[in-house]
Amino acid sequence: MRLEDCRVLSNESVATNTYLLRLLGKDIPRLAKPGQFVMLKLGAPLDPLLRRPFSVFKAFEEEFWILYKKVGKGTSLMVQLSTHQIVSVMGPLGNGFFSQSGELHLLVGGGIGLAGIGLLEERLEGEKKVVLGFKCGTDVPSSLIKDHHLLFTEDGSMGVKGTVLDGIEQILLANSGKRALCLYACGSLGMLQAVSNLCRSLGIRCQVLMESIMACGVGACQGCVIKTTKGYKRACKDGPVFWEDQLIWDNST
Amino acid sequence: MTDLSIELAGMRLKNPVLVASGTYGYGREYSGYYDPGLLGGIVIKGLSLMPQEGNPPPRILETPCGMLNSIGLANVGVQDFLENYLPSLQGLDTHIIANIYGKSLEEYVEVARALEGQQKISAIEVNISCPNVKKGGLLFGADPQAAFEVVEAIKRVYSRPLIAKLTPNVTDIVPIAKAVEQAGADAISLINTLRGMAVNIHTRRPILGAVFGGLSGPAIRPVAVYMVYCVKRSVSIPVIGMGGIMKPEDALEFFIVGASAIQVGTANFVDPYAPIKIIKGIQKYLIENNLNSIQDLIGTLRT
Repeated sequence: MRLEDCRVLSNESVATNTYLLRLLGKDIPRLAKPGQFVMLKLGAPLDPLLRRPFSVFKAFEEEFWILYKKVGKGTSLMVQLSTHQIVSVMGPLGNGFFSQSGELHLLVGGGIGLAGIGLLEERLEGEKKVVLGFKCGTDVPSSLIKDHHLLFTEDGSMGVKGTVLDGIEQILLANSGKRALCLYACGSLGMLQAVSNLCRSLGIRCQVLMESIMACGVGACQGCVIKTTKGYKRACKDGPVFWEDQLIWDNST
Repeated sequence: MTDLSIELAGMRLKNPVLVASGTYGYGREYSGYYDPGLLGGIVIKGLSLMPQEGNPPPRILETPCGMLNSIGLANVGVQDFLENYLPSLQGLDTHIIANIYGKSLEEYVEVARALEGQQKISAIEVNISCPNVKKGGLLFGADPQAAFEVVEAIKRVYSRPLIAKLTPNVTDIVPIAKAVEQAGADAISLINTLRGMAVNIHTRRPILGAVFGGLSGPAIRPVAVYMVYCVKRSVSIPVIGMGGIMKPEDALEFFIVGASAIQVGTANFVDPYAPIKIIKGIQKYLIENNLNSIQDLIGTLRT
């Protein structure tokens, strides 16, 4: 893990309330593994106080990308970042995705969950399929969508009308149990739970990248815990990737 | 050469900057950034007799210039700490202070007993901000008599220095400070977090899973400085100040009002190097002000 002052290369809108931040790093881009995250310090020193965690969406030699959605105070400040500005970045943090042997890798991203699987798509070897789902066409960051991505929108305004579940079922049907499948998912809690239910009913193992509000990012404060079959686990240090069958989905939160 | 070392309750600290319990895990979480041996001391996450799961999430919420937490003292338990975490701290050239808590006086005593004789643990910091089950959930640290009893009982089983960590959630902190001093505490640390709460106006539910939590960060610093000032005037044992210290200037305020040492807490989350920067900043201030040692600054408030 490093703490680096990174220069903003660009920060552009790629869909409704969705932005792509390109940063110049020293060691962070080289060290980042799929599923890991970084923590950015935004705005004035004391307010907002805490760093914000973001998945590393892409990483190259000296450059790494963060795909993010404007949702609150921190990300609103992030939108204002302009080229050449310096941002303090801590990372890479957390465990990445587990290496899993399989014949067909299925990467599932719901909405901004695409941010969590972007680097995995690049680094994963072997045959892979990418299923992406969005609420509507204006949410789709078209410049980041490739021809081979299976794209779904709930209103059918872009790609196929449906959700990522339809995409997964479509692939499963075509595969019909011929090849060993590995699933990787990132998205909203509701989407992850639906994917989890599907995996449980079909007996497929799946890794999910969980999001959580964090303070330290290094496992010290225990603020970001996720409920699992082995008790509360820290998203930052024990995760952020978990095996789906170890998660306890709690509808009350 | 400026001297940053201090004598604290019989311990020689190379510098007066410690890291606060609950913000530094079990001592190794920040080792990827710097050698924790550079610190004056490390206060370990609060340990209880049995492992604790802690409170349901969400456990943290950012507030203006601060944060609320309701971790719920989640920890691995004192035995697991001794067996699986303490060995990795043996080589560190700094003081390890174990923070402890219990839900009853007996539990406090048992945790302290488990730590007695541990060579690498220089002292214990007793968190008396826990509800006393027998006294109807009232905080040990909110009642001078209960605070006295718990400190006195631990002193009987633990021979190394005892630091009593006080809660600010009281009408007057001074009688509590006097009570723990009378009970034999070797030092006092303050302040723990201030009780706080936040509500989601759309769902009308509390934001934190545990309904309320503790406020920390720069927002609480003036409260902390004032309480250290009040306590230092009333007791003769050393005081360790904490509460929202983010930078050297913040730490200096605490020394001037009488703190012998300080603890850095929430700042660790924002900048992992914060304690190191604070040590350097204190040194720079001493040089610029022609002070030979930190001792020459402690308690020099002009009124």
